[in-house]
Amino acid sequence: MEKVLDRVIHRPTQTADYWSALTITADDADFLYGFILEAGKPQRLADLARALIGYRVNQENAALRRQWSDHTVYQPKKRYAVGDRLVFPALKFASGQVVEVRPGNNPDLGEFEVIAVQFDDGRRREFAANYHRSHRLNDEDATAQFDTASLQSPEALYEAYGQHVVAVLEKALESNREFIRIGDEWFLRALMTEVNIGHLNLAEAVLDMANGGPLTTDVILRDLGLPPDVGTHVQEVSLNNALAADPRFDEVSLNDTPAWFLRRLEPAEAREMPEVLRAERPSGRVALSPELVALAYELDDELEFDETAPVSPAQSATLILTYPHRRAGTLGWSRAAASVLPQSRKPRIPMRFKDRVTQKEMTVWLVREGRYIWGLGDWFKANDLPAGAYIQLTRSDAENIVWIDYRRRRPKREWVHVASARDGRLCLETAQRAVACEVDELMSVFVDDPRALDALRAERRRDTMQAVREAFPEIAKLSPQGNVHARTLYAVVNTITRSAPTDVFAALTASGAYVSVGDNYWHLGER
Amino acid sequence: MKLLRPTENTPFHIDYSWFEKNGQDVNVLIYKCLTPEQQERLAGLPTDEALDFVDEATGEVRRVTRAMQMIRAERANDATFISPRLPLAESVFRVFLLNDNQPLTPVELAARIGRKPSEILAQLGGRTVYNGVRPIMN
Repeated sequence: MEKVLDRVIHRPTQTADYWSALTITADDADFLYGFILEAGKPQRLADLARALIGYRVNQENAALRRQWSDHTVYQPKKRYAVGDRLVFPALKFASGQVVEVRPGNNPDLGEFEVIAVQFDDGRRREFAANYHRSHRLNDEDATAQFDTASLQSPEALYEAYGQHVVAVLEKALESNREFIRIGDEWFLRALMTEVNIGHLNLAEAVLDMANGGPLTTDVILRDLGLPPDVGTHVQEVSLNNALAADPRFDEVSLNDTPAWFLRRLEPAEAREMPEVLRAERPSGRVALSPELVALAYELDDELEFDETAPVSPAQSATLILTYPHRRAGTLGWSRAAASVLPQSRKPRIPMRFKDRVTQKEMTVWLVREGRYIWGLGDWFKANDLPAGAYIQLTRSDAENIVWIDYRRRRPKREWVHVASARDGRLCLETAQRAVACEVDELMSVFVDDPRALDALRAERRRDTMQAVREAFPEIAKLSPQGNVHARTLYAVVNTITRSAPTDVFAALTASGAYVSVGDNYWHLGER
Repeated sequence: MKLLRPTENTPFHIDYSWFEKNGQDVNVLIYKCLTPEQQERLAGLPTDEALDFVDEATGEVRRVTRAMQMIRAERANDATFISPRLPLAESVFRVFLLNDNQPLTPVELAARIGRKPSEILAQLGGRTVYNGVRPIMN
């Protein structure tokens, strides 16, 4: 019995090998050029990849038809002459040439002919011709074999191989001068209208009048007077491209519609990372115990945020405020914060945080370099929040608003750790202070005079090892056993130098001066 | 000089020239593979005349005798055509009639006729040739 596979045309585009070996040809580039030209507006890479896959499949179909255009599909009922080229659907679409015709010899079958066919692979076989008895090849539509109904659609191919196609396509477009990237989309350089320095100066004035922005491109365009014969969309695209290339402007939109802000009117702390947040990461690597690795992960410091690891969206997240952020009026844009905040890869974007209790809104800036959220200093101060306080972020129904709150409780005086500067060194002591929120007891540090600690940091920059050496005995002296929790050490070290948990734990481990006594508690060694 | 002996992985086939060399007619052997009813249908017709038969799936033409065509067309799916009750050499001969004499090893034949490869090799690999089935020794 005939195998079904024998009647399937081999189509490379249906295979993973084809797409994994994909290179973008000049023909592909021409197609993509025409595709964008026809659309008249910038296209996302994913849409270009889909279109390219569809184009390649169509090309393959056309090639198959061309390949067989000079061939006749073999059917026993037809007559053939020497020299005719035939294709045999029942033999995996093998093709060959008729080299001999003779009369058939079988009285039971009546009159017919036998053709000898020399196949392209060298085989020679005989077939019936002018054969009018019932035969399945006489009865079916020979061209049906070209039907693509049973094949994977371009959309299904995109699902399977699109990621790789997108990566290859992006590289090819980046090196092709005819295409231009505008944000996440691609357009044709030739279609762009000229936006000169005068237009950009006008755009700056428009944003200046709007306190820096943000303003969407269409609003800025109203005052620019670009040539009216150019379509609105092309005007927008051209202006977006020119603004993106000018360091005076930042694209700050949370969605697909570009919105612009005048960089010089952005808060200084959003343009430049506050000094207290700046960390110097040591280059060497120290092997940490699994407990310390787990603790570092739990502490979720934005210095150790892995941009390549996906973050699962969450409705709300709780963060522990650390001293550098308390001092800078910021929060770390850590893994937990990222699960609630909108995803963005833009350098800076403004958004609104809304106090859950007072309903008061504040503008904050998400800053990608350094991964922090600036604009919370007044809110920290108004709520008397110390380092160690639990801060809650919750999604709202609006894309650009996030609820902010802390774990409130009735204020009462408690014995807490208070950090200060004394004789050019960090000093830690326990004292009674009013506490109006829940805090992480191992990480809370009160600072009565932040300026004194600023001066301490400015006087002498400490590396993490030096900071650990200075902080450890200060913490140890406050406990009868002299034990120091790694979590507390991380919090206190960060009052005098910005350090990531793994750097603090690496210094703790590598020093040799401290011994672990279990449960992440450490003790000063005998040395 | 060392004689080469076939193994369980040596391909065998029907060596049609063996019949000529030994003064035998393979068509007689093929005729014996037909059922009485098929033999009756062929009564009076020449047994050695090769005719053109058209493959129902591909349209390919094969020149074979009527008896051979009957076997291929009517007995290929008949479980009694090759059965353990037949002598081993007869079963092997019939396998080659059905598969257009494509060479098969004793291991491959064993799967088709339900005998052990060693048993097939012992019978067909010796000096005596049964039904023209011989090893292909390169």
